[in-house]
Amino acid sequence: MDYGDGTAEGAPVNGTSVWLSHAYVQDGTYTVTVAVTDDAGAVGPNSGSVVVNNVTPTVDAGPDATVFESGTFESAGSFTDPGTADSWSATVN
Amino acid sequence: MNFNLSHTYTGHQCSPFAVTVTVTDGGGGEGSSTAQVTVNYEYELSVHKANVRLDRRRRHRSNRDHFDVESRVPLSVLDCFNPETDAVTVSFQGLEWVIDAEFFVRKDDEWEFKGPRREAGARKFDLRDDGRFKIQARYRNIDLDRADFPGVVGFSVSIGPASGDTEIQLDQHGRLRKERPKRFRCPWGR
Repeated sequence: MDYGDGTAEGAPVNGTSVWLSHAYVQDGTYTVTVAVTDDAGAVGPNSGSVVVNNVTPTVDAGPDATVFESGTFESAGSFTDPGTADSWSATVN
Repeated sequence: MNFNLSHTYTGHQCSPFAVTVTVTDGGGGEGSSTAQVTVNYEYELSVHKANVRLDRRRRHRSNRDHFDVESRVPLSVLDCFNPETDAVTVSFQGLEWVIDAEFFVRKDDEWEFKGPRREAGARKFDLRDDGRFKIQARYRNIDLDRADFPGVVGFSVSIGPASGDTEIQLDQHGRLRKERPKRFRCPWGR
């Protein structure tokens, strides 16, 4: 199995079915290539495309706060994004 | 992934402020979240007129201690006051009374609150557009006694994010003690 993102690994075969499972860490279009080899060593390759859509980051700006004038607002926030190979930029307004 | 926010609010602007954090990933996907920051500030409160009446004879089943105060808040306080969302808190000699948002009614050139007549607590709060306000309240057991007069009582008014507090100097009658200029005496006895 070649998932097109640099990952190549074996896949379980059940009768004449092949189970494919792979998590993509980056959006894009990937060519998945399946190569089935019989006992005689004959290889029957086939391929298809997988379109991985981008998932937007989920952001938590932290709790609401109250400060006094000329005081400093300080807070800790976080965000999550399933695209772990992504790069991110952040703006605060 | 974690991040820290830090910002100092200087100068006087009406809060709350919406702090929006937007994160953009490499694919152009954007996620954002907003936190509200309320900036409290203090204003100078000076009382023009005050009167405290104590009912210590308890002729009534619930004694009727009154206090009436007239004063003025800076216009900047009114600029930031939103009666639909902001509460007003008055405290006097350890008693605190909160008018929740939406209890003020607009009448001519003022915001007006009228409390229940038969219950202890604030009876009336008029807040005029020019900043002048008038409070009439009746409480049970103000933490004062006639023997405390003349004396000083703490008084504060918070209007939305603005809070002002002062001390009221009361004379022996429970009225605001005013420093009167000494009367000029003619050296020739006239």
